[in-house]
Amino acid sequence: MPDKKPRFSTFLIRASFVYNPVLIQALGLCLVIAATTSLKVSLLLSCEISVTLIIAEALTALIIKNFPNWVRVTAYMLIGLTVACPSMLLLERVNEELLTAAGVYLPLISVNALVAVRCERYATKHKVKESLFDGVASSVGFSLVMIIAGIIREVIGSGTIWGKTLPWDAKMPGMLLPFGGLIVMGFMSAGLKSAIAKIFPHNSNVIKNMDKPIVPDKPPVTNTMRVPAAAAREPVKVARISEEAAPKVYVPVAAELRQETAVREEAPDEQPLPEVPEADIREEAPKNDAEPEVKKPGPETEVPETADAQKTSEPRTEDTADIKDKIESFVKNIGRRNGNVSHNAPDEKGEAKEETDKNKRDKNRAKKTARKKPARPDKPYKADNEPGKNISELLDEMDRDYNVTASATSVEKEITPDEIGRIDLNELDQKPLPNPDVDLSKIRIGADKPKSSEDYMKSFSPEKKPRDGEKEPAKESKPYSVDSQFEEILRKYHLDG
Amino acid sequence: MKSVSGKKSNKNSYADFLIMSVIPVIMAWYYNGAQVFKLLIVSVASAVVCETVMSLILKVRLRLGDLNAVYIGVIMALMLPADASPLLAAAGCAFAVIVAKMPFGGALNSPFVPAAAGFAFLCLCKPEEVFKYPPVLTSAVGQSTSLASMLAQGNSVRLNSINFINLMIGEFVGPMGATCTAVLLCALIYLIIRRPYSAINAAGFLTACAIMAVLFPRIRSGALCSLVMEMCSGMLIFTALFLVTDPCASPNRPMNRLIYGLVAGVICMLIRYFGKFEESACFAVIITNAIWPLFEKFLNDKPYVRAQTKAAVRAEKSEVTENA
Repeated sequence: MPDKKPRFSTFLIRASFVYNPVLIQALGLCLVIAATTSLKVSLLLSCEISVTLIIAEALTALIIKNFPNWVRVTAYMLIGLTVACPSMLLLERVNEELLTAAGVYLPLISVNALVAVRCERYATKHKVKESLFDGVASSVGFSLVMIIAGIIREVIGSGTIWGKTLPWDAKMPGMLLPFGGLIVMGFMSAGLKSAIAKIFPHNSNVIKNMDKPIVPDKPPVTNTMRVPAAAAREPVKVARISEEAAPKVYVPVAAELRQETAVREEAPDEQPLPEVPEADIREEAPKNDAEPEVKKPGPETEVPETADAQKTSEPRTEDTADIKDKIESFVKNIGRRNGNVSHNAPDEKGEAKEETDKNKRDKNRAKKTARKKPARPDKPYKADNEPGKNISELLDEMDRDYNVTASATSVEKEITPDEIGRIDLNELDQKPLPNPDVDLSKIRIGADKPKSSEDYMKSFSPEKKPRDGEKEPAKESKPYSVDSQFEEILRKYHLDG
Repeated sequence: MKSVSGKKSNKNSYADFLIMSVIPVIMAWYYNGAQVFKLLIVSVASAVVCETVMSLILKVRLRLGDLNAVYIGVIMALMLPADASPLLAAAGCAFAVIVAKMPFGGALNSPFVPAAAGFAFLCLCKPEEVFKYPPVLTSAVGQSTSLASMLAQGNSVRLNSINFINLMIGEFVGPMGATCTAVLLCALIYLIIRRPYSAINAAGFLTACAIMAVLFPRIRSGALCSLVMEMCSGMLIFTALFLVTDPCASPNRPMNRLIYGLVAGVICMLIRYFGKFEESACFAVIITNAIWPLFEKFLNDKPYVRAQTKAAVRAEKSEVTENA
């Protein structure tokens, strides 16, 4: 977890090591390549640029960031000159040889890219304290590179260190040329990057994360339900419906399901959930041997595991047997109408029927034309393209994934497992659709919360032109937007057209 | 890369080049004595040690079996004067291996010819030692100055029969392995027989140099004299045989090889005419290596070794999948 308060140690590691201004950001290369021919000159120039950078970043964070862009760059140059000119005059009196050795690179610091870039990228967007920290850390990183390059090039190129001759008489004057500086920098950069990759493997793509603030932003607001990790492991009380409740509840997935099935409203909060022996459920719809794969729950956005949910889910009442029959017939009708769902509902013995050629073609076409949307991190559930599951399994999957049998809203707040059972379906739109004959292939999923049936009527999907040989759709019904949570279900059961 | 066929072709290439370099070594020993072997041993040993150390640091497989390190050591020694310091040869080999070869992934992937890069480094660092040649045992043409320096100053020799024979047998000062033109021409014949595709590189290089020497002579003795002097001076033929034909940076197709040689030859002659150093062939090779990717893009070609090994890797993968 990144720190909430900016600490200098973090800045130091980040700005001087991981995002080194010379070796990673490639700033101020002129000084490092051309001017690091001796250790003395390297030290002088690194001190000069450190002072310039710190002062420039502090002033930028205080005042200069309010200036327009074209003024800011000039201001950085003026700050550099303000530091360079007095230092040159001082050096002229103290050590003229060193000034001669530094040459033109000392005044060139005033127009160095390092100062301008760090001020523009960082100091204009942060406070004074953070900018000071960044200035100090960047100058430490820059100075280290200058000093190390200066040592290497002086030892190999001149055979001296700090002006004193070394005992061995081997020197390569070519290293004092700019190509020697480039070679030294290349090796240093390669070494630093390999060290970063080992120590900070998550920072392998350093440049992209360079200017992100250390203090994390607010966590992004997602449009899905969240279950805390601890609660995810607990058994979820799935909302059940009683026979005494009012007739219809909006289920945006299948309009026909709502008409055909007697989906009833949930009972008041404190009523206990009815118990149904498991044997009743299992007899009617034999389970497949292979259980579907379920991903492990993540920190916040996961659903409970299927095994736990199955074991601890309470058994259904006899009323649900009727519902199941109706849902089963509905699914068969869907398959017949759209031709997308193969009639692979297993028999009592568990044998699957053969797919017709037309169903196969349609299935393949649906797979090819299905829009591939990026996987959302909040949704652990993936569309399962296995047709032909029995109804109890379908319902169990829906319950597992979305924790609520009939609620179809996008919830923008965290919901605990206790709240799931208390969702009042009256809050949702329960009005029946004006047009019951809905062509499910025209359903389009939107992220909007369903408000009213009129809103649904307003949202239309673009017409799909039939391909060669294909029949035109029989009737165009006006589609309505459905919550994005059920998008996966539609795709899973080949209802997305 | 673990391609067997790629490794075999590299090993055979460098083995052929080492065979070609045997006779120049013998001639260098004949003219300069046993100090030649001392330089050779130090040069080869430094190249091998540097490659071993870099393989350990970079944690890559040690590929001494492809003979590239030995080749670099031998060529580096042959390009230097016979009385050069062994440390000079060691420094050149160290630069060639540590900077120009291993960081790019070895001989298979290096975009530059390592030996040429090492020699160029020595030219920049110690030109006074690299271009200071010892006198030849027998008195010959240009006892103290090399042909290349004579041409740079606009001087020439009279091209009579005696001088021509001396030029052919190498009785004049110059790099250790580059003076005996007759031996190098024999090596060229060996190259044509054993490596005809590599010989295309050399042919293009020599053709470009010959045309430039005839069209733009530096001396006033005539086109023929200019041609002979330019071809026999310095390391022109040596570069054509050993540096331009290096498999690591050599193109794949024959026409592209010819163009590669022509470009290197033109650049070599231009640097000879306008450059600071008397010997410029290594710089020409490095510049050609640097700009060749532009030509590659235009000609849609890849270096010979990389193309070969990639094809071999693909063939191996297909065999594995078939067997599986």
